[in-house]
Amino acid sequence: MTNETPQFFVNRDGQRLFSVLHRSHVSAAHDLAVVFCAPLFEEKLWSHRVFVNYARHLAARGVGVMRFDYFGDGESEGTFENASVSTRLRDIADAVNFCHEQLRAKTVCLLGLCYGATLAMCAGLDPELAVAAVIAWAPVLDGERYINDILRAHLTSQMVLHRKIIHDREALIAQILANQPVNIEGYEIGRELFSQMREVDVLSKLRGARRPLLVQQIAPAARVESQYAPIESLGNSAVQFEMVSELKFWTQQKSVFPTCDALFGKTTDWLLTHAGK
Amino acid sequence: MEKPVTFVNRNGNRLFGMLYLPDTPQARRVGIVISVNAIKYRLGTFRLHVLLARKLCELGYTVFSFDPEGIGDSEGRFDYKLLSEHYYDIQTGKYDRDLYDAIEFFGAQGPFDSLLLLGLCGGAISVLMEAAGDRRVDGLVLLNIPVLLEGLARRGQTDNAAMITSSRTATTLLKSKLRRFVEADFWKGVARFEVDVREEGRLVGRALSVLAQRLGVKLASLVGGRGRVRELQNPVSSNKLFNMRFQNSFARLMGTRTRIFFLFAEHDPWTWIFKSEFQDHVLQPGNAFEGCYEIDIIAAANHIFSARESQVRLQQRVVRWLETHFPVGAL
Repeated sequence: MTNETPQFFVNRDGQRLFSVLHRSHVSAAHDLAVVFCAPLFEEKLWSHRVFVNYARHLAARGVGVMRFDYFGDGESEGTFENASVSTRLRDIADAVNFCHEQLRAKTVCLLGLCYGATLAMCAGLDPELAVAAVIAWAPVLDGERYINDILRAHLTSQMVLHRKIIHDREALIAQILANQPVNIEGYEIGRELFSQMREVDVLSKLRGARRPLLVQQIAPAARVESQYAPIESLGNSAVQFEMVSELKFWTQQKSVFPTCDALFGKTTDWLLTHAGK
Repeated sequence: MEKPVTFVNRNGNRLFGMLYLPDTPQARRVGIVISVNAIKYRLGTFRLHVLLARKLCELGYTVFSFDPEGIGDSEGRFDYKLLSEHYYDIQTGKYDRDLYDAIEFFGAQGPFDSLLLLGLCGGAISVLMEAAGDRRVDGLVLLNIPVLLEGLARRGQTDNAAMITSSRTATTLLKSKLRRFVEADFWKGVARFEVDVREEGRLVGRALSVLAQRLGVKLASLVGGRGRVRELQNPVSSNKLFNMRFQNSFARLMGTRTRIFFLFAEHDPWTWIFKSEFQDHVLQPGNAFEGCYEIDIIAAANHIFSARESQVRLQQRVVRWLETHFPVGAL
């Protein structure tokens, strides 16, 4: 049986956040732990089992893991519309501190997926936070494009419901900016989340990165996707880019695959090389 | 208060769940177990289960959601399979035993005066099948329940033709196909082999056959078949994908007078499939089961009740049904 503890921890704002701690059950445990930063929206649900299995994979290799739900998400307190990029960054910082205390790890790293990877990079590159390295699985580098893709789902819903577009993209944006959240597949997107997602400039943060950071493109095809092309020309040796051939498990696929062997293997190798000493 | 818990199922796997415990003691203790939908874990799509559980808990109901073996945080293997194969497994009772064990664990947190199960889609058919053999269950809330099985012969491709079961769906499809057939682009696509002509033919053929069938049923009812209660030993639907487990479970639950609330979304195909394949055959006015079940449809809602108004209406309807049949009350 695994050594996993589901519990709530309290963030700096006094809100209860749900988390699961995976304590390592091997004798030669590292003084290393990883905080997982989940993606947002339905990507969180589709990818959940891969996160759980990767946490178990690491725990079996002597690395502790903490998975948690941001405020307004999962089983944590709050509503989605009241959470933003900045609340999630604060939650990550609080989770890192909690992880240091609970798992007694000398070294804590961050791992995120999709927008969770974007958040992990932003939080992990903050010099104030005690993080040794960051792993970004399929991060979102262009927040504006990402949120526009999400808004497109609203247009599709309108077509299903009304057989025509009643509010186009511009109208939806105007509505959000007027502080009237827009419901995208059940998620209420408010002004703060929308504006902050558009404003985050990940590439400039990566240029200034001083901590080891691994960006992994996860795609079946072995060619660099356009959004990751700028990373190769960053000229920052702290940032490494790697392509991993796996299906995009955070979206609905024809098959269900709870593990990603290639991704798990490559990530663990990098993690133990850069932070496991 | 919300309390994360774990329990061990009959296979020795540790399953994870969340208990939602009312802050104030109740005169009648009513417990509700929420099943996962299919393969997404206990939160439900856009955390619908969390939002619903919190609302019900606020009103004094004790709620429990959990991940079956191999799902979400729980231990156990999850097979590498096509999504449609997982759906088929769920529609044929994959979660029965874990639901049974979860009710056992949850019951020990009681005692409860009444115990109910709630599920959406795959969760609805799962709780219906489990409850059919479980005398501990007093009532069911079934959201958008599927009465057809996943068609495995098509290896992951949805059997769209089999999903056309009502005259409403058939008419809508024929209208859209007629519009398409007069478009030049359609015929250009045919010439370039970009259109699956066989599939188009299957869809149109199925729609025409459903319309003919419905016409036959209407004529028969005019002749004198109206209001007749159908026997439930044989399949009431001739659809090759009709799930007899659904029908058998329903019949057993009606035998024990278990209360069922069928709640549907207007824009969900399952609503109309349920109506044409079961409701129209079995649940006509004057049937033997009246008083045990209720059917309601939420206007303008989709399969997951994602719009804010749909969520509000969903909560209102569920709460109204619960307060009518399974009220709690502060001491």
